[in-house]
Amino acid sequence: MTNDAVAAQSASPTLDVRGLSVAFRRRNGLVRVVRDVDLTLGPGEVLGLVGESGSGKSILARAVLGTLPRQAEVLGGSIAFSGGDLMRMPPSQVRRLRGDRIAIVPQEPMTSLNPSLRIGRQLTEVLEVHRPEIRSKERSVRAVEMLDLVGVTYADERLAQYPHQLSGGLRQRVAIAMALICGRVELLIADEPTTALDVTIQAQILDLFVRLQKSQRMSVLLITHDLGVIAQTAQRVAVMYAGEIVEVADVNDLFASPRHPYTRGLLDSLPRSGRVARKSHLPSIEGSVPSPSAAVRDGCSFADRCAFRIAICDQQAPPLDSAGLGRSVRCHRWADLTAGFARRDALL
Amino acid sequence: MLSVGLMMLTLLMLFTLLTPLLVPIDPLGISAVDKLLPPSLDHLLGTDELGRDQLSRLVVGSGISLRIAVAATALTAIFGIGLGMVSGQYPAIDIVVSQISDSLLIFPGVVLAIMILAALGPSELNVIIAVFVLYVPRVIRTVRAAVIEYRDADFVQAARSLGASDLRVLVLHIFPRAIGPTMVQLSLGFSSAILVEAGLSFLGLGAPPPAPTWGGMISGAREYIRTAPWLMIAPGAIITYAVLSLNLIGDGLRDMLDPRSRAAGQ
Repeated sequence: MTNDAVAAQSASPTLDVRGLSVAFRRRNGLVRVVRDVDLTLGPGEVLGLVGESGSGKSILARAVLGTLPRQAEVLGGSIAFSGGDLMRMPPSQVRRLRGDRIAIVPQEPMTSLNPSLRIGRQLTEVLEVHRPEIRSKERSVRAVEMLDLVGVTYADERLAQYPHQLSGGLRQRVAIAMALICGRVELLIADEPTTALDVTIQAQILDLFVRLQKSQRMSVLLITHDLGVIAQTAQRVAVMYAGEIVEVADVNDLFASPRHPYTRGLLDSLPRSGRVARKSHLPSIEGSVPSPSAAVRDGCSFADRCAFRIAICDQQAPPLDSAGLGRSVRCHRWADLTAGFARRDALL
Repeated sequence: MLSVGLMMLTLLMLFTLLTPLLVPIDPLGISAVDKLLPPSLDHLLGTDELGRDQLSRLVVGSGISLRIAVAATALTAIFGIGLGMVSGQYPAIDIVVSQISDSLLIFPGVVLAIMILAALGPSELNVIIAVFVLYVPRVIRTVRAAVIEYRDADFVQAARSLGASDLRVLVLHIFPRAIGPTMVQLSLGFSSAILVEAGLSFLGLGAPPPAPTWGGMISGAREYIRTAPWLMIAPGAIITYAVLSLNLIGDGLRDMLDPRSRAAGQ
């Protein structure tokens, strides 16, 4: 674990999620999509949250923001942001935090800007909501500065344009500008900010994130299913599977020695240079994420797909064990598996 | 298209407002001697079976028609947009509003209007009410559909997650998506209001005689279609003209309010 990360954790955290559970109401009862999640994000830290589609990443983010879809419901837990409990605050107070001190960059730049409104209108509206004291002329000036900052060219002309006149990369830059325009963001949630972009633009946007995170001294919760993005930007990683956090670790530790079989599987299924010669097939994790509406099983939620399953895995859900400084793993067998993996890696 | 429609509508309004200044207007003056005269310099559009000046009656009739159509459309716009937005956003209110507006929609339009006027009695105000009841469900449905379509859209979600309140999201983010179709509905409603008003007064359910209405004039001219066809041609032409101008405005508005076609025009 790096010194930075240790320092970040010892200070009072920007975001502290404890025991958060979220469920969807369905006709046949509640479907739990986020289960007992603990997550801590220190000031100035970039935490990557990885997981497959449907593992509950975005719902977790929306729970933090207080913008869950209407059919979703928080079953329990607490979300502390800079000391205050977001779950206990009146919704109007949480609303005033959104876009001001907590901001989100949405997943889909193509659809997350309002097609009927000009770019300038959408940027200045955030100021209108959170900074009514700023005059409307100054708002436009701020909007241009912000577009410059996120690397949008011809910024003053863009204000008069509509979203459909911009490319995907530009729209994502505009979305980032909207998230940061108030200038007081402490927690930025980036929900798959580069998934919809092609690789070159993706690299540019990630660079922009890293640069802004440093200059604005924000904490960033970076949600993605792309481990490459995590490796490039995050300091710590939380791996989510079927609504649970299964492993948390410093990014270097996680890539060097994953402890959970699921994390292991994810990393193994990444193509790496040098490995091609040995194997003709890229390994993959058999099966798929259990549907959240399937009956809740007693044991480990990953057991069905796990190559190292033993009897206890079907009987008892594993707790999130501490596995070294700043690391935790939700697996009954992490200790003996780690030793085994180390031997295998030595052979490879 | 929009400019042509607006020009035509402006001409109609000027005709209604300025004609009384240019020629003497006396829609009610009866003269047995002057009955059924063809158009001449004294009576530019001739006279009807009671010797009343046809041009005067047409001008006063346009005033009545436009007044009714404007009032009914304004009411439809206010209640249609308001109720549509509220019922799109709040399912509990939606149940009530939609049941009522749907049950109004099952009646064929003119039948419903006749029922309302039969119950309330013929008068200008009641025609306004009838046209309003006839068209407000369509506007409610149009606005409601747009709100439902966009209330969970990504950009609405994004606005909400940047701190916009429910009201702000509804009015400033969702409603702009509904403006185009709503405007089209309203301008169609406006032209239909003129047609419905003409139809009702043709049936004797509009503003009661001796008030000159376009529909009433056509109705009275039926008997004289062979001997004095000008009595029917003039009000028929002006109804066609009014409806055409409003439909052109409706189409023009739709093109203008669609941001894509607007950008293409730039």
